Amino acid sequence: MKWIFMVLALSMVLLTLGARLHQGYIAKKDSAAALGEELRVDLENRKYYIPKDIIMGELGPYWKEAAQGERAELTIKSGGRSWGFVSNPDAIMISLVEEERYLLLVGLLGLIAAVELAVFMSYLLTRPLRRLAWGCRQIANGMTVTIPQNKLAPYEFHELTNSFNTMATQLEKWKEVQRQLSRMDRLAALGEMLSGLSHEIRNPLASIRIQLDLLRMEIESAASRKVEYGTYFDICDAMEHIAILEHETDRLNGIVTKLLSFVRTKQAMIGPVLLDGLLPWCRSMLNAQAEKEGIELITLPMDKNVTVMADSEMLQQLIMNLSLNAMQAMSMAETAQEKVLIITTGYSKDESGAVKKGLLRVTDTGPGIPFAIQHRIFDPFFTTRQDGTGLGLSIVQRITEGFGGSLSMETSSFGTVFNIFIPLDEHCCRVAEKGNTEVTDNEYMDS
Amino acid sequence: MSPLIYYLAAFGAYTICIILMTGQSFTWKETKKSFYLGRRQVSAFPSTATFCATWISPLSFIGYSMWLYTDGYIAFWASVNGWLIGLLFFPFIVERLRIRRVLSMPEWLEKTYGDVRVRKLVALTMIFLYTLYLVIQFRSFGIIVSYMLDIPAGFTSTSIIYLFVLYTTFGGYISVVRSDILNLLLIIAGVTVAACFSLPAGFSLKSASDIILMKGQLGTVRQMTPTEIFSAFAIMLSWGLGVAGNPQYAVRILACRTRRDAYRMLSVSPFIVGFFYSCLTFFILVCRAKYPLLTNLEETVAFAKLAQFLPEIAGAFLLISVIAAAVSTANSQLLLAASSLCYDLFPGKHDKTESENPFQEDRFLVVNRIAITAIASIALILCYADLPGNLMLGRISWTLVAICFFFPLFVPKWIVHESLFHVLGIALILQSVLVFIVGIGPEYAMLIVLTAEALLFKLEKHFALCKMLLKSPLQKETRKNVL
Repeated sequence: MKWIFMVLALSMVLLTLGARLHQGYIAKKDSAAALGEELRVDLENRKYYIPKDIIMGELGPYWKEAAQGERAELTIKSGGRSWGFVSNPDAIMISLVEEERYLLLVGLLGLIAAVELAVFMSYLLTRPLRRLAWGCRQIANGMTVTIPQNKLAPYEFHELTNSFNTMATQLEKWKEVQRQLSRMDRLAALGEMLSGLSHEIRNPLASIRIQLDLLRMEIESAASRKVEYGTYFDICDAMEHIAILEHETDRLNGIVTKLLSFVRTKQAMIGPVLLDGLLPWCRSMLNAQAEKEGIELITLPMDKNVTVMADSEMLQQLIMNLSLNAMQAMSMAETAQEKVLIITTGYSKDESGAVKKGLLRVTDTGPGIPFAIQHRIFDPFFTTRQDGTGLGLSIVQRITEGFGGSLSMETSSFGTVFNIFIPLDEHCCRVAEKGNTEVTDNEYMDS
Repeated sequence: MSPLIYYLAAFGAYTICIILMTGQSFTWKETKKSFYLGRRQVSAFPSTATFCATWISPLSFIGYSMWLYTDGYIAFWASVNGWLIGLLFFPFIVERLRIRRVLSMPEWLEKTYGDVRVRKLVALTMIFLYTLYLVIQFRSFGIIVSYMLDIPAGFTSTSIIYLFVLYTTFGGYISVVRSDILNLLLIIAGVTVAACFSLPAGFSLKSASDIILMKGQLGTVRQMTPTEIFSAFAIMLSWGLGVAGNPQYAVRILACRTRRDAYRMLSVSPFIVGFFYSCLTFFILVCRAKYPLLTNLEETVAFAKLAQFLPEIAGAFLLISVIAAAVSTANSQLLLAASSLCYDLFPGKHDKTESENPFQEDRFLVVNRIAITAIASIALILCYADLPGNLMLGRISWTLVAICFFFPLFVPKWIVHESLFHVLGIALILQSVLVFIVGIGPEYAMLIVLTAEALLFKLEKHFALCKMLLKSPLQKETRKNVL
């Protein structure tokens, strides 16, 4: 582009200078011809002889005597003699250049200035392209990029930059969708595997449990017989071992059940559930544990009669999972910060103020979730605790999505907030829109 | 045909060549490193060309010529000798310079001696001295152009170099190198043609030796008084040291692709520069012998008049080579002044070798170009201020360069890092006082200042050593021995 502008600038200057010099040359030649003609007429009218040198002096440098055999452009007769003259282009040119040297100089200055402007223009035009090329490279390297608008660039480039930024945003969204798809694929494969595995584990487990019961009964009856006959039989130790075996088998069974509940989600019985009605239940279930851990439990209904479309049993499981996670995080933290668990319910509104969904919020004052693992916390089997299964938050996410709701998380070193947005019951939605609600989507972002 | 036609044609051709062959402004992928040092990828040939073209300034071209014309061989002894001795110092600093991977000489000082104040002080000095130096190039160019095109010397003639220099400097170091290749070819062609056509009867070795060994020429050296000899020696020393410490050449060493390329550049350059001075000296000696009466004119005008004794085409070549020398030196100095201002004095957030963000680089380079325009404009305005003559401006600049760079570059072992800033500050103030207030010639003042600088460095070293020993758990006797 730079070369095109430069050639254009160069051509324009050369054309202008060329036209001016050509015009000047023609004008000088015409004036020389007019002078010659005037002199010829004048000398023809005079009867006396005028020498050639004087005639040439009168004609000036633009005329020279015609050479032998050369066709004369001007023939002057004086005193019976005649001389042929031709125009002298070299002399005209020299005189022209000498006279027009300022113009030539200005032309050269103009040429440099025009070329510099041309280069600058091409720079202005190509700079946005350069930025876009850089942006493309960044995207190719998997980086997130937004190109700022350049005020000096033409509007077409504004449009191009906007399109690029939109494309970059869409690509980011597409990447997120791909991530989710990939996660779902992994979960499906994992579910299949777990389903088979659970089945395989459960059968021998059931058999072990039955055999243990039988064994216990046998030992109990044998013990009673021996006591009757007064023979010492140390059966107490055996009973204790069996009790441990029972406990461990039950625990194993619990894990398998949990795995199965993750893999084969129970069909949700969706119906109207009073969200704020869950809070007393939460208090009764969690209070003992909270007191034990030294955590202050607060349940707070921000709005009354918030009815959402959900399965109350699953909703309770969801609250339990989040709350227990929060309490464990706070109890593990070695900070002087006050330990508080807050469960709130209410409405969530969009930007226009319209009620959108029911909101269930679980807030803790724990140490927060490190940035490096934030993207993995909903992955099944991802846990930072030694005795954790890593299924709690996965189940929370699955239940929320099962209700057609959504989930968001905010975390910092001062604590973590989980927001669960659940679709409202239609009747409740109408009632809510009439009244005033306080909690909005944006609020949780600012909280 | 009138010489004006030849001159106009030559000048027009030069302008077109500069526009078409050197304009590399605003390349697609620009960074600070490419703008200041051509990405440090410049091979031996272009490096040599830009080194030599930058070397040959109107001051060393016209100033030397007219001094030789007036005073004979003493000019050769004092100036050319000094410059070439300065050139011999460069191989010793190649390794030292390149090991730091810096973009400018003030940055090198900071990285080597660990004091950002030194960088700022030297950058400020460089902006001052290169702006003065630019005035010399602009003035000489203006006078030559006004002579060639038969126009009054003034703003129009001088503003042409302003545009030339902006055009070639906007593209950064690579653009400067390209223009320098063209300029060096023209300079060498100009002086070669001048030397060949200077003898009316044609060039022959016999006639050349006759001219060189003419009685009048050699007599100038034989009749020198001790004062003149000392004066010539002082000038030789100061100009030599000025060359040796000049960042214009150090930057070219930094920009070479490899160390070997730098050594190649430094080994070939003396031959090119030597050839240039030989041709020029011969031409001026011929003029001195044949046309000895041009003495009362301003030196640039006098030089231009000497060119009229040559055939028209040869004269045009010679005058174009002066223009080429002015452009090649000016764009290099302008780039250095801009880098001192934007990169060293006010680096802002850009004090990194290379930023990955193109927006930041873009903005920084735009600011650099604005700085280039501003410095060139100031130099253009200063051309019409009541400043001293070209030679005096050159002497002031060279001596400042020597004061700032000679010791840090060539005797780093003498320097106590903590006190470098203070010593350089005192040296620069002392030089200014001696030159501008006391009125001593810059070369003599520089010799005094350099001696003072050396003494201060030695004293500081001694005190630093004493302090260190007093703190260390050495035995008393060992301390005494060392002290």
